[in-house]
Parts: sequence; C-alpha cells; structure tokens
Amino acid sequence: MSTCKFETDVERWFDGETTSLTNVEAHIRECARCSETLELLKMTRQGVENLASNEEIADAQIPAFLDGIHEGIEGGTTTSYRSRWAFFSLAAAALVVTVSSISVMPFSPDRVGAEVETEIESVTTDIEGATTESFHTDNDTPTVWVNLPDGDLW
Amino acid sequence: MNVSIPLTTEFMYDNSIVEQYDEIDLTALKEASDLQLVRWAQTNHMDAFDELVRRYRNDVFGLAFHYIRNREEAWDMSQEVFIKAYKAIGRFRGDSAFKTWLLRITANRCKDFFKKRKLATVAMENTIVEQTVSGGVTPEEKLSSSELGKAIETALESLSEKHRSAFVLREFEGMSYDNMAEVLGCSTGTVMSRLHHARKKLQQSLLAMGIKEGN
Repeated sequence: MSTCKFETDVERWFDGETTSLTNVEAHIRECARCSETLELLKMTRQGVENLASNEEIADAQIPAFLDGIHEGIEGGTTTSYRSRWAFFSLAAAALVVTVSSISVMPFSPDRVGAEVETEIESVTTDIEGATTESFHTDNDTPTVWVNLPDGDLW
Repeated sequence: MNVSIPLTTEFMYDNSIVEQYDEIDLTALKEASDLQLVRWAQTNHMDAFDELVRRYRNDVFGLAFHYIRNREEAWDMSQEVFIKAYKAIGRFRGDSAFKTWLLRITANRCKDFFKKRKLATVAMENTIVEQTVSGGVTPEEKLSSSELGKAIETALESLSEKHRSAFVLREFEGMSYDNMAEVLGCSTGTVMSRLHHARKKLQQSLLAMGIKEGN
C-alpha cells in the first residue's frame, strides 16, 4: 500500500486543526493516496453521524436519572438501571398474580374457611444479606417478613 | 419554583454573623454560568449541581455509551460519574472547563470499566475484525447510512481502549485535539498518533468487512 508523508496533514485538516501543509486541497487533487485517505475519513464520519444521533437521556428521564445520583450521594450506592427494572418487573408480576387470583377465586359469602391452623415452623431465604422473621398478627394470621439489606434495590 | 442560593455577603445581627440567603428562580439557575453553578454546588447546593447534570448529562452519557456500547451500563456509569464529580467538586478550581473536567472523569471511569471487565478489545488490538455487515452486504452493493453505522459499531469493538478513546472523543464528541489531550491526560502529539492509528485500524476492519470508500 502506498503512503504519503502528508497523510497526517490531511487528517488534521479534515479535523479542522492547523496543519503545516499550506494548500491541502491542491495536494489532495494531485495525490491519489491522500485523496483515498480523505474519502475514508468522510465515509467513517458519515457512519458515525448515523450512530451518534439517537443515544441520549431524554427530558422525561431526567427525574429518574437525578434520583439515582441523589441516592448515590446520600447513601453511597446507586440503584442500578437493572435493579430498577427488576423491581418494577417483580412488582408488575405480583400485581398480575394478585388480580388473576381474585378474578379466578371471587369472594363469596359461603366460602369454606380453613379448618387447619397454620403454623410457621421455619423461614429461610437465599437472598444474600437478607434477614427473616415470622410472627402471628393480632387476628392470628401467620406472617413472614423478609428484610432486604440496605442499598439493595432501593 | 424558587430555590435558595446563599450569597457571599454576610452581615452582623445580634452580634452573630448571619449568612444572607436570597431567593432566585429557576430561570436564574438556567442562566448561570457553569462556574457560578459550580461555586454554588461547592456550598452543597444540590439544585445548582442538578442544573449541571441537566446540562451535561448527554455529553457524559454519550461518551460512556460510545465507549461501552450498552445503554443500561452507560446509564449506571453516567450516574457514577456525576456522583464522583459531586464528591470531588470542592477540588475543582476552574483551570479547565467544567465539561472537560467531567469528561475526564468519564474517560477514567470507562478505562476502569475496560480493565475490570477485561474486554476482548485488548486481545483484539492487533487483529482485523472479519465479520460481514448484517444483511450480507457485498462490496458491490451501496451501503446505507445505517448499515455503515452498524459496520463502524462492529469495527469499534476491535480497537484498544486508548484508540477507542481517541476516536470516540474526536468523532462522537467533536472535540479539538487540545481538549482531547486534556481529557485523556496526554500530549496533543499523542492524541494525534492515537487517532491516526485508531482510524487506520478502523478502516482496515471496514475493508475486511468488504466496505470501502465509494460504496
């Protein structure tokens, strides 16, 4: 492949920087190598312009973006984009299950109540750093709490 | 919306110094210079810092995205950059433009990201990507802009972190060589050399994909 000592000058000229070559355009007309270099530079920039146009944080996303920064400043950790989506996905799934259960098993006045008393024997979780506790509420409903570690999800 | 911004003036009241606060509206924040916002942020005014985030979010996000090519990770990294900037803002003296300072933090974070992930870019530094553009474009076919964009995206993967930095700052951020040198912490000569080699390697990769000028 042929080379030309003014190739880097052509590159600098293309980038709008000063160059030692005074008449770059005239040189490009005479030099096949530099003419080819210029075409390659133009082609690359054309492709980049197409890639660069659509990656931004839209105005509507600013509050969420700022929230993450504020959390990071105050708490030392940020809620990652993935965690946020994971949380919303879980919440949405839970909502769907709840609504489906209600529609499949509607409440009726003559429902048969559970005769067997439920007791919690043990509670464990695979979530790292989480703690669990169980108790019965005032109306004797067995209840399990899973306490997530600080900074996890929220 | 009104925000409370402390003025530098102080006055004596009942033998104690009282910092005088003034109410300014959001318009004033928007019209303030970067340096003024930085000074306010240095006195722990989050509203002023938030305005800086609004101004430069896309510069930081764009740079992060073009480095790591993943929107979610670029989002997280951009937030980390602003958190780091807020924590370090007390040390910002105004020797360079705030944007340049911010992008330097971004470039350093991206460098760390590459190290941490041990991306294949280092191993591929001296190789040519031999892939075809999706859709099976042949050299004889004219490339559309989007196809060329995809090809460049693929070819970018073949660049080392240093070469990619130079290329991204110049082509995606439109920075001058001097600004690039400030962001990358090297001389202008080094910037030119890295950019030249980045372009050469990129062009080699494109040629290997069957893409050449005039397609």
